[in-house]
Amino acid sequence: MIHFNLEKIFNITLYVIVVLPILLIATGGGPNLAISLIAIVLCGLSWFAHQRKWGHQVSARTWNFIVFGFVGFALLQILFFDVGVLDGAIQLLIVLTCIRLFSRLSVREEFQIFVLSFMTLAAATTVNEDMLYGIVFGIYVLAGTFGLAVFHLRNELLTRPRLAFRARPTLDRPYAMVLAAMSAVVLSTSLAIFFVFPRVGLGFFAPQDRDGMSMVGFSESVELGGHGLIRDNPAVVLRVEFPDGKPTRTQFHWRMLSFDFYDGKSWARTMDQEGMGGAWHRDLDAIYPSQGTPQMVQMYLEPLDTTLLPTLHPTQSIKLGTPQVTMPFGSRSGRIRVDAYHDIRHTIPSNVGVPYMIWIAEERTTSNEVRPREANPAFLQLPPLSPEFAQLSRRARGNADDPQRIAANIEDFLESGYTYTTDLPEVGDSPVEDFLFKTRRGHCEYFATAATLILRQNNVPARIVNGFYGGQWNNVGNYWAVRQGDAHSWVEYYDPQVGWLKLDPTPPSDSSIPNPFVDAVRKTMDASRLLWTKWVIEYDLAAQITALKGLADAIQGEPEQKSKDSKASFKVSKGFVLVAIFGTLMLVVGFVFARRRKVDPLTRCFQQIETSAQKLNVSRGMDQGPAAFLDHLATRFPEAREPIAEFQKIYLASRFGMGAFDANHLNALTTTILKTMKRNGHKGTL
Amino acid sequence: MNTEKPQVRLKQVIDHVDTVFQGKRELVTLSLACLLARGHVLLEDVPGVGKTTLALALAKTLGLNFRRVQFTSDLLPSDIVGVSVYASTTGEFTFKPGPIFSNIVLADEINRTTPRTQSALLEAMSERRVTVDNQTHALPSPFLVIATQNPLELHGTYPLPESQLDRFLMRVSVGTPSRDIELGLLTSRASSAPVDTLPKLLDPSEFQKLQDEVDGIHLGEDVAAYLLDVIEATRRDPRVRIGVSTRGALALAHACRAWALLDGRTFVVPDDARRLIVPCLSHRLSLAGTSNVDKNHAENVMEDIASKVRIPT
Repeated sequence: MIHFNLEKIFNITLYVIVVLPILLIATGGGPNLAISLIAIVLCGLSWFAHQRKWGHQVSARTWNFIVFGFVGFALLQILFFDVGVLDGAIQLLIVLTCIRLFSRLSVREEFQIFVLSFMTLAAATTVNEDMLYGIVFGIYVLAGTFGLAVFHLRNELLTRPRLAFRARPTLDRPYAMVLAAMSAVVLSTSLAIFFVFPRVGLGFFAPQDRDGMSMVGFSESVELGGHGLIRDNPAVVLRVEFPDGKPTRTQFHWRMLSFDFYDGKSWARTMDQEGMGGAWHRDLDAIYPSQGTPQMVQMYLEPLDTTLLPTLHPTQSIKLGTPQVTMPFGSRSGRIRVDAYHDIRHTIPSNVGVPYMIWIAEERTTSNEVRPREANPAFLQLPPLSPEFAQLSRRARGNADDPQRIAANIEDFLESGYTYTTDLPEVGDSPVEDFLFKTRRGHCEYFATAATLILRQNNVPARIVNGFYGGQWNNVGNYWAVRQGDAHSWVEYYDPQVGWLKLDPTPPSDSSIPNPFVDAVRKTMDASRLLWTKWVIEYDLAAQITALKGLADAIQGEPEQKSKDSKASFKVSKGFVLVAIFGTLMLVVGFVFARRRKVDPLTRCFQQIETSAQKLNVSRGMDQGPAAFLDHLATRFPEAREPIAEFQKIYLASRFGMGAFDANHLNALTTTILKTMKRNGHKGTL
Repeated sequence: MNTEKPQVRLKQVIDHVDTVFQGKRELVTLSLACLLARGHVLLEDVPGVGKTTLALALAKTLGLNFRRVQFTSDLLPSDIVGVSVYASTTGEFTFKPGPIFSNIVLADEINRTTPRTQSALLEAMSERRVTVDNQTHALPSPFLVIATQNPLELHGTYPLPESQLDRFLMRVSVGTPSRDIELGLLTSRASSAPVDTLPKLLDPSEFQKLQDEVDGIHLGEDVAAYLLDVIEATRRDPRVRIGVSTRGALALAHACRAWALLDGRTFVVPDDARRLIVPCLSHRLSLAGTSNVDKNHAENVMEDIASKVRIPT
């Protein structure tokens, strides 16, 4: 028995229900942070105010006046000041909740608090679409069901105090368990509705503006030296799924942005930024030489403060949206543009993440019949440099003639003679020459800049490329995760016979091995974030259809002709189905097992007799003891007198006298009694 | 001496008593259980229904001695417990034990005497010893008081207060025998009381051993919980001003043990408790609103409360 004051339980659950949505709004950020923090403080105060019944001292009319005053204030704010409708509504909801917490005098007003908190929770969806929302929503459903049940119980006791007089109002274990089970059912039902109910994208309620993740190195001009700062940033910017299985290679260069002009200190772009295009699906064959069958890769890009789309080298084609998440409709429709640098940009507002697919193939280094386009002469421009640099360029080139050999020689030259460090030494006015001649230490930007300039000095068109290198395989969610700390610079150079090729002159750095536990936790967290984005935030009609198709396929068990796209969803759905079936089985087994184990053979035999006696119209009164009941049974069924007497002896002795008993014998006796009773049942009733 | 098991002989005792005190087997068993549980019985009934016969028959078959005290308004405590008498021959005071110094005492119409005398008796009942002139004298063992109360005549009586009633293990009523039995009594040719013909089946030491055995009867947790449920229910019932005390709970448990022994068991079953709830507890209820003298009302309330408590099976 949980001897707890019902009123106290009710108060605690009520406050949990009120505070949860406010917390969500607070963590969602935006203009509501201050008001939600004040609201939480007010909630705390109202707890004490309610206990001291301060609210009773203010008349109902005053409370109404305050409520309508705030409604008017909110309307004014929305109509005449630059406050969004949603923000105004959220403010109003929070304020009303607080007022009601102070002025709750009757059951009706307490019910209003429940309704208000639910509306606040609904409003919170617009400001917080983080995974936290899912967790809080789960807790809210559980607490809400529980709270409403306790609310009802308490109100019954308030209106009918005689009930409390009979038995002290307690919340005993079975009752609490039934409540918990009900809450669980409600939660699972709402989840089922969430996944089954037809839906469209977020559309109207999508937040107006939210800052994307701020990125270093992807702006229009990049000064050397900024890179070292973000080396340790673990925030994931890109998650990549490989529907064809875990990739064998690990040396991924996620290409984002390239530059042509170097003024001796920083890189900048001088060519047409707008780019061509406008399709949401386009081929890039002509740009990067590739061979072999392309492999589809699904990418989920976090909201960034740039519109660049990372691609792999060499990407053959690119398409917005994935089989689970469609993109080209509604508020998040967008197009793909490719500019003169062959950087790929999207036109989707940057506050949302971008799901897209790319098809990658093997890099081809030999020429074929496809003639590459001419390289822009801008990729040959050089800043004013010292004669020592020209000397060094010749030395680095060696005796090579064709661009690929030159590039290989430069890579060897840089990797053998220079060391990688993120701990930057002081450099002077010409960072690259200082790096090449004085310090001989630096990070990828120095290596890439040096390599680009040496290539250009040797008349090979080249450009520096910023992006990400490597990443980590997340074995929890089975995808590739690229972090901000994986940012990297490398070089692309132009071979007139083949096209643009990749060169990474940075020597490998020794990476530290992460703590396995922290790493596992981080991976699990990140994997759940991806699931949350894929199955909750971006979950829409198309994804629903894909998931249901996969479910149907999994149930039918015959994998029909499927495109590569739906394979992933098939796997996921199969996993879900398996988990669901397993969970249900476990529940059923648990239930049966719990029931079985609770009833020992002794009690079961007695209950069997009792149940079948009841069917024959001999029911046991609530206050009729077992001995009296069995005696009564023996008089009603004289044919079974002897087995009943024996059963009674054994039963009473083992049940109340701690005597041992032979379960088989008892079972046999029970069967005899049951049979005899049934045989003579009708006679007995006559 | 008999070599049979004592339980069997207790059955015989009941059988024998039943032959002279006919048709009241249940009452005989209850009284015997009381005796075994070292408790006392309060019989509430009109005179002439055989209270003395019951006490005599029990005393006879158990091999115990028996005294009867008729309580009147002028009865003094010393009339019951005894007095110290100055013996001129020795020059010393010697204690002359009163009628209470016997195994079975029939205290007839206990409500007729003054509270002072009542309390002297009740004190002796619970202490099982009397103190006269600073000298303590132990009462014989076994010691059973069968007190009677006439529930109809109220004038000039001193009804026992609840605290005193609490000292009786059970309160039962005898009731007039059935017509058949009365017919048999009228037509029987025996001139002398049939009680005289009863044989002695046990001796006091044997009976004491049986009383000790009662303590060893197992009372399981389920049954104990049931007892407490019932007692808890009496404390919560709106018709009851004060519920059953812990002493009442202990008394009921002990009575249950004795009942189980009489039934030839070494453990208590819930049925024992169910049977004994009304005789053991109804006089311990302090009812709200009505006079406690109304015995039937108390019994009905107790029965009603007990019938609403779930019994363990």
